[in-house]
Amino acid sequence: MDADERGEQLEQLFRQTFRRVMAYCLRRTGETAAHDVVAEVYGVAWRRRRQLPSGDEEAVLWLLGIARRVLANQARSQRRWARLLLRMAERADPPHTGHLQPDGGDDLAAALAQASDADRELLRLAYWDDLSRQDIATVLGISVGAVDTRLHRARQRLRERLGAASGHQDPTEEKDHKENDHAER
Amino acid sequence: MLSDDELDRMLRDGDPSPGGAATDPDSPTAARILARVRRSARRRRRRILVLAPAVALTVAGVTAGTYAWVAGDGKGHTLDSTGLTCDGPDQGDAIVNFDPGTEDPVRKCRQQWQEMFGEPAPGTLTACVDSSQQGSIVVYAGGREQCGRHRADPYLGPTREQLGLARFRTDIKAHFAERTCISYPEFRKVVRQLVAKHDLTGWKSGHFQTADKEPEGACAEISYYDEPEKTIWLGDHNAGDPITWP
Repeated sequence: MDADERGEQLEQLFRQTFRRVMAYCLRRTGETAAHDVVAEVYGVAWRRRRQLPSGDEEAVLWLLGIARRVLANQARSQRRWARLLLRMAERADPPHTGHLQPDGGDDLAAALAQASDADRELLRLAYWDDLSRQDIATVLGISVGAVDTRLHRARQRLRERLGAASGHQDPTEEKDHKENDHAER
Repeated sequence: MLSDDELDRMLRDGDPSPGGAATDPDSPTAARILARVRRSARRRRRRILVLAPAVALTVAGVTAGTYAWVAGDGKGHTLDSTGLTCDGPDQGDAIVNFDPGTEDPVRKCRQQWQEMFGEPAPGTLTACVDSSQQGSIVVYAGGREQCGRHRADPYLGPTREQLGLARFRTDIKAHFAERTCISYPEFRKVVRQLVAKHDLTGWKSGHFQTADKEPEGACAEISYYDEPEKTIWLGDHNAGDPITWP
């Protein structure tokens, strides 16, 4: 395959998948950073093109898996930067660097911002990226059963946070505790 | 309190729904990104995303040693012994199942490196326990200095409990070999027996159904092992499908 053919192949992959890959990144980081991440995703994909799945949908999931790791690297860099700022300013609280910080009175944004990285990613994959359980399992590299379990727990924790924010007690909490108490039957 | 449907709606409505020009593959922005990728592909150079100024990162790296971090149990033991990450080239990584009772993480990654990353494994690989909450095992290219570079501790092998869990995993897989549907009562009974056999004190099994909307299914499988909580999470399995054992 010559350089022209390789270029065409790259452009075809880019055009077929760009919309979903860019949307995935924009849901997780700011616009400028998303451009960097998307460029990095396709750069990595091109270097690893021998592992590119043949089906269109599988290729998108594969790219989303790469995007997840590139974003994680980006977050690590941001955390390093934040720790440096914290040290320099000798402040008690870390500076806010994420774009998912509480936004005014938005309870959901606040609850998501308080969630763990794993919970937040799972909920976004399920409700924003609209991936099936099987597709989520593929992107995260875990079993469908694990997706079910973790998604259920992520929803429960989010519901509790939203309930706490509005001053209500979660009625499912008691049920879950009972289930835990009698989990081994 | 929010019902399931209300929570679902709230989550879906919370989607920032990026669209339009921002995700248009024919937009000038997309064209600029594609040009960057082409340049990168032509030069075949490794480009690592760096958001903070290089000087600041250098200072952060120098000062990183002054910060405390916890990796696994803080003694070189992971809290997630059922899988490991092989940290490949070009920001790639691969997560593979791991049996700490019979396998060595470096050897495991080395054996699969060529297949996973399309190139020979580096001469030296090192297993570290990373600084995530559970302290996962990550195998990096390079020597022991890689652990420090990644704010991790060198992996020192499994704990006695993890060896017990590894034997549990082997036994339960062998016990149900060839089976494609195991009822919850039978599954729990065997889990109890094997937990006792391997001295897994305090371990229990639990079941979470999908958003509480589905009754317990006819067949069970192990979703995953939560080692910090000493819980074996069971989930529904489709009858007839081969069972994947974590």
